[in-house]
Amino acid sequence: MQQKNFPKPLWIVTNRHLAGPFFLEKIAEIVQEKPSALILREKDLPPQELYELAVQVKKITEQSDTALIINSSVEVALAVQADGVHLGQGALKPAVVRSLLKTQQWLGLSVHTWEDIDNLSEQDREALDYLLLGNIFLTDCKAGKKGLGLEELSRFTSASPWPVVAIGGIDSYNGALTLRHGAKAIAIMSSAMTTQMPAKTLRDLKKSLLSFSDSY
Amino acid sequence: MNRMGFSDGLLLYGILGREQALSNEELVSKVKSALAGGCDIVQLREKNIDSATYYHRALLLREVTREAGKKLFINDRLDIAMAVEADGVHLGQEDLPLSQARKLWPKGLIGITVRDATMARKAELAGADYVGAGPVFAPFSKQLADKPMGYEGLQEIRNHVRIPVFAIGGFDATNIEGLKTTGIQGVATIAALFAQDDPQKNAVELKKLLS
Repeated sequence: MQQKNFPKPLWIVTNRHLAGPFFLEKIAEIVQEKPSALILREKDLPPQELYELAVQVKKITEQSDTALIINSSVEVALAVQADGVHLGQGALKPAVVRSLLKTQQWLGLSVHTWEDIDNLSEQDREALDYLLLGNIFLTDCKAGKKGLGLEELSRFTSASPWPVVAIGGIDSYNGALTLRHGAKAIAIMSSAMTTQMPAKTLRDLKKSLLSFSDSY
Repeated sequence: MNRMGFSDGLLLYGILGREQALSNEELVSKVKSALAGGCDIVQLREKNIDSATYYHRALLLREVTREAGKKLFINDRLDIAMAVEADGVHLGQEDLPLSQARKLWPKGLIGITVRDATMARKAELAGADYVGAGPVFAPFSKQLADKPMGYEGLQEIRNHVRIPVFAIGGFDATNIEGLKTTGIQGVATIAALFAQDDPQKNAVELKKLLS
C-alpha cells in the first residue's frame, strides 16, 4: 500500500450532462466545500476537449486540497498532472496504467462484485490503490439495479486489501452508516450534479459524516 | 535524414484496424504479410474500441514490427503508444494536443494529420516529426469529409515544411506513380494495402511503382 494519505471521507464524481449549462461554476461551488477527491468522468468527450476541460477543473481543485482524478483517460491525467486515474471496465489494465503513472498518483478501479477482483492478475492487484464499489443503494443513475446493501459492503471491505470508496444512492441519511460498514470514503454523483445548492448539499452531507469521524 | 531516421526514397506506410482485420490472428498475419512485401511503417488505427482491446492489439503489432525492424505508430492514443513502447503516435485534431504529447513523450515520434500548408507548418513548429497530408484523392476506405487536395495541395504542403510528408487518401496502383516527383517521404494507405486479400502482393506492387 501507498504511504500517501488517502483522500477521505467525501468524493465527487462529475457528469456535466446532469450538471447543466454552468458546469465549471457548479464544480467551483462544490470544490469550495473541500471534498476530498473529484473524479472527472466525462466519458463522451474526445481527448482534446477532455484535456481542455481538465485544465479548467484542475485550476479549481488546486485551490483546495481536493484530489483531481481523471476517469479512464491516462493520457489526459498525465498531461494535466492529475492526482490520479480511475479505471472502469474495458479500460487499460491497472498494471499497464501504473507503468505510466508516478508513484504518488492514485490508481483506482470500479467494481461491482468480488468477481471483478478475482479476474485481476497479481500485477494488476499490486498496481491498484483503491476500489470504487457500487451501487450500494438504489440510485436513479442505475435505475432498476438493486443496491449491494450494507451487509455486502461490510463483507467486501473486510476482505479488501484496498480502501473502498462506496458509491450509489448515498446521502446525508445513510452516509455515516456507509462509513461505519467499512467504506473509507463515500462518493456522490447525481445529488452533487443536480442540486441547485451545491454548498448546502455538500455541507449537510459532510456534517452527517462527522458523526462517524471519531472512530475513523 | 531526419528524426524519423529515414533516408531518401518513397516509403510505404500501411494503416489498419478492425475494419481491415477483425480478429487478432488476421491482424498479425496481414501485417506480417505487408511487411514481407516491403511495407516500411505500420499504424494501428482503431476507432470505437475499448482501451484494453486496443492495447492488446497494439502489443501484438509491437512484437511483429520489432521482429521485422519496422516502425509502429498508434493512432489517437498516446497512453497506449507509450505503454506498448511503439515508435510513435499519430494524432488527429480531436486528440490530445500535440504540444502536450510532445512534452509527455520526448523520445516518441509524433505524426499529425493535416489538410493544408498552414496546418502542416503549425504542426512542424509544435514539434511534429511528420505530417500525414490528405486526403489527396477521394479515399476508398472512408466517407469523404474533406475535399481532396490533389497533387497541387500536397506539393504546397511539401513546400512549407522540412519534416517528412506522407500523402494519404485515395491512392492505388493507378495514381501512385505521380507521387515520385512531389518530393514527399511516402504514401500512407489503408485500402491499397489491406482491402484485398494479399497484403504482401499489394505491397510489392506498390513499392515497385514508387521506386
